[in-house]
Parts: sequence; structure tokens; C-alpha cells
Amino acid sequence: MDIILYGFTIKTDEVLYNLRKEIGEGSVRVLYIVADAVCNFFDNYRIIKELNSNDIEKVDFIIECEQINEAIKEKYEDKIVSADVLIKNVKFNFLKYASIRKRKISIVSCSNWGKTVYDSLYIPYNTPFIGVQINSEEYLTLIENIDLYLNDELKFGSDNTITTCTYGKLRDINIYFPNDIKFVEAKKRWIHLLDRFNWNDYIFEMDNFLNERQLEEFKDINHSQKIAFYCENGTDASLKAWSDQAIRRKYRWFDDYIVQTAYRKFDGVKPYNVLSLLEGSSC
Amino acid sequence: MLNFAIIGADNYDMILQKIRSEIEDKLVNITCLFATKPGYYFNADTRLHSIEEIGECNQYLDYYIIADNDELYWWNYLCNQIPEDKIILGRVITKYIGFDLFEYLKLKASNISIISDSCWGGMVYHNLGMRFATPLVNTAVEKEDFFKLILNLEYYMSCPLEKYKERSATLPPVGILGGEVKIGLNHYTDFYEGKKAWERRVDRINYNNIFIEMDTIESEKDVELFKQCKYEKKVAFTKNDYSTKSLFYMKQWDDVNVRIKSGSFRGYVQNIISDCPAFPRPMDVEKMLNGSMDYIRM
Repeated sequence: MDIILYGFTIKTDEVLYNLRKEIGEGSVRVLYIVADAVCNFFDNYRIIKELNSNDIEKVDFIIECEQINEAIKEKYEDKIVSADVLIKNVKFNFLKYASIRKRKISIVSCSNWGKTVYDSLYIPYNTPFIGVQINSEEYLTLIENIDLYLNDELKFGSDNTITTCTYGKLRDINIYFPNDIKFVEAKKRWIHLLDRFNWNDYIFEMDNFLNERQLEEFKDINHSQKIAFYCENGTDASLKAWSDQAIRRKYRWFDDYIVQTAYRKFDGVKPYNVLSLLEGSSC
Repeated sequence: MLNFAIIGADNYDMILQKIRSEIEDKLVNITCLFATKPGYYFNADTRLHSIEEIGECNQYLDYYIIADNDELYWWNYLCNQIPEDKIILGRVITKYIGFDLFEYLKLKASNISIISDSCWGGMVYHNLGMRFATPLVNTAVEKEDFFKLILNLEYYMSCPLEKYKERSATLPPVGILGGEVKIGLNHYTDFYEGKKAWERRVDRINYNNIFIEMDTIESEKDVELFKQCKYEKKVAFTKNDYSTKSLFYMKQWDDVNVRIKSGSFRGYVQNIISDCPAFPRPMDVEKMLNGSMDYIRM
């Protein structure tokens, strides 16, 4: 896999350090570093002043160690990876990440988890389930018949008032949007992101189970890619830390804990690995 | 394969991420984790022990990494039970960007004595979590005096540190060695505090592994004097290119952005080895102290 590092900052140093194993094995090759620096070489990599557009086409990824021009960013959205992804994520494997990034997986999520994963892994959004909240019972109905619901039009529910949030209606299901946007904007974004939905590769995520029955229903849904986060008297091994009072005090809500542990530098031991989860292996 | 134990789990994931290359290559095995607090839950293959069991596991463990946030407490706790050179501070691994485990273990075992004219030496020891094997910690030495010192190190280090000047309103206390070499005790409250620290550390000098460091050398005369110093491992950071291995040319200093960001040349040099430097490191400090030739990166 060929990459270009854009910018010569401390992040460049950190990225090279974090990729040292892959570079040493030959699975990742750094073509050059783009920067206006006084030296011509750094760790035997060439430093050149301008990013060559022919090279952008050829390489797999450009690592953004310094702000890249917006126009280039927009044009080559699929190739640009923020250096923070490589620096801040723990339990991170660049090759695994690259294959997930290329799959363009769509996450169907009932909470903020999906957005968090996209943001932390710097993957362009390709699902309308970004920053939306859905009631657990309705969410189960939606994912059981996802084709039917997503192909239907999102209708006006309400704009944000003192007593209600901004929400839209997909048939009988309420989709709650962040309060600071009006329904018209929310709908526009919903349609834009729905166009990018990858119908060949999507995963269901759910973390707001109210009872055992809902969990059973989720397990019965006929779709191979799905993940449930739950904690019931410490029976689920992967998230049993939630039964610890200290952890509960620290994160307050279960979904907050799940979101926080999905990514970024994490104190202690992460209960699961997002990359393995998206890859479909044991996480 | 070396067997490592992790003490506490606060920085467990970050430490494993940093040394994953060594773990995947099967050079290092994380054998067990000692819980420093109750209530650990995780599914790793590592065995979980309570901290009281540490004495029983000593035979098969090579190193202990403190991953608990309260490093000082656990450092003192472990020092009573296991040799100090087997303990590694977690922050060295997590914060030091270019951390290379084996280069570090080699450096730690080499008991290096850094003779530095500024705080650089002390900062290196601190950031790499190593014992101060030099009395020149929190001290500063004028250039002329420093040349006298390094050209006749053993003699001056055998002289007692005598009082030259006590702290005044604006200046730090100063001591003098052999009536000639003045040592500024910059970060000590008075001369006696500085002298006490000096006497405690002066016996730790390892004359078989001396590393000389000078912040800046600018004149030709100084270059000649520096070359005369008999120790092989030495470095001075310079703004000009002298094409000599021991005179490290800081090319990046020519970059106006770097100059604006760091203010002084000395500040820039010190930033390079700090816990969270602001610039790509032009040299690999661990390799440099170990005497490798390929420590220059740009």
C-alpha cells in the first residue's frame, strides 16, 4: 500500500512511528512527505514541496498531518486520512483500517455511536443515521424492514419547540434530530446521506435495549452484520465493566460509555475493538 | 523472549499499542497484569494477579511496566521488592514518540552518565525515567568552565564542591570545583541543598560510559576544544554545519516557522527531547546516547 504524508509537523513523526511495523514489513510504503521544509530528507523519505496530482491518483491514501487545501480534500475525499486516526486510536491496525475504509460500510445506528465511529475513523458519512435518535421499539421495526422504510419519504413531524424536539416521520417511525436544526435542513441532509448508503454492506448497531425480549428480537433479525451493546447483571462478558460503580459514575449513561470506548485514547482497557467489530471478526 | 508484567491498567491499552510491534514479533510477552485496584474486567489472555502476589512471580518476569496513573506510589512500592532496573515507567512508553523498547532497555542497562552544561541532561533522565547517574542535574555551567571540566573530568569530579556565592535576589547559588570550575545551582533554594544533591549523585558517575552534551557551540575555537575532549560519545547542537558527527547541525532552525514557534535555540533543542515535543525530532535520542551512528534523521 502506498501512502503520502502531507505536512511536516510533530504528527508526521508520530505517524511514521506508529506505522514503523508495517513500513518495516513492506506492507506500507511511504512515497514522500509533502512540506515546505528546510531539509530534503527525513528518515530517508524524500521531502518535496508540492503534492503532485498524478501521484494522488496512484496512491492509496494521503495522511493529513497538516491542513490540506479544502478543494483537494473535497476532490479526493476517499483518499484522505487524518493523522489523528493513526495517532489517537488505541488498538489500531492500519491495514485493517484501510480495508474497512475501502469497503465504504454504512452504519445503521439508533444513537450517536455511528457518528462517533465515522468521526474517529475519519470515514466520510454514508448513512443518514448520523446524530439521530430512535426509540428502541421503533428502531427494531425499522431494521426488520429496512428496505421498505428507507425507500419511503421522510415526512414532517415537528420543529424544535419548548415541548418537542425536531423530528421527522418515516411511515410510523419517529426520527429525532439534533435540536439546533430545523426539519427542512434535517431532511435535506437525510436525503443527501441516504443517496450514499451502501446497500451491499451495512451493519446494524443497537444499544438502547429496554428488556430481554428486544434483545431476542434483535438477535432474530435476518442480517449477518449486527452488533448489540448491552449489560445485564454483568452477564455479557465484553461490557461487564459496566456493572462497576466507579465506571458508572465516570460515564453516567451506558451509551456514553459505549461511545467513549469506541475510539480515541482511552484510560485503561477498551472493552472492544471497533476495527475488528467492523471487520466482522472477534472484537 | 522477554516476559513483562503490567502494574495497574490505567494506561494498559496505550502501552500495548506502543509496543505492539515487539509483541507481534514475539520478542515480548505480556505475561501477567497486577491489579492495583479492585474491579478489573477484561478478556485479554493475560493472567490477572493481585499486587500482593508480586513476590511469587519474580522468577519468571524480566521487566515490570507501571501502567497505573499514580506512578510515584507504585515505583516506591515496587522498589522495596524488586531491583530498580527492572521497573519501567509507563509514561516513558506512552508519551515518548520515538520509543523503541529494545533501544531503551539497552540504554537503561548501560548506566550512562550525561555530562551536560544545561538542564538537557536532567531532562533526558527524567523523560526516559532513568536514575540520575550524574551530579549535573538542575545545574548550568559557563562555556569556558565546561571545557575545563570535560577536558579533565575525573580530576574535577574528585574535588569537593565548595561555596562560591550564595543565592541573591536575582541570581542562583553557585559552587566551585577545584577553585576553577563554577557550577550554577540554578534550581536549588540554597548552596547547601545543591551540595547535598551533588554529593549524593557524584559517586554514581560511570566513567566507562560518559556522554558529553553542550547546547550550543558557535566559534571555531570552541569547536577545536570540543574535538579535543577524549570521550567518544559527545554532542553539541549547532546552528551551523561543521560536518562532524558530534556537532549536530540543527537544519530545521533555518526554518523561520520553527524559530517563531520556539523562541530561543536552546528552547528548541530542549523541546526535541521533551515528553510532548512540538516538532519532528531531528535525531533519535536513544540511539544517540547508545552511540549508534544512524541517529541523525534529517
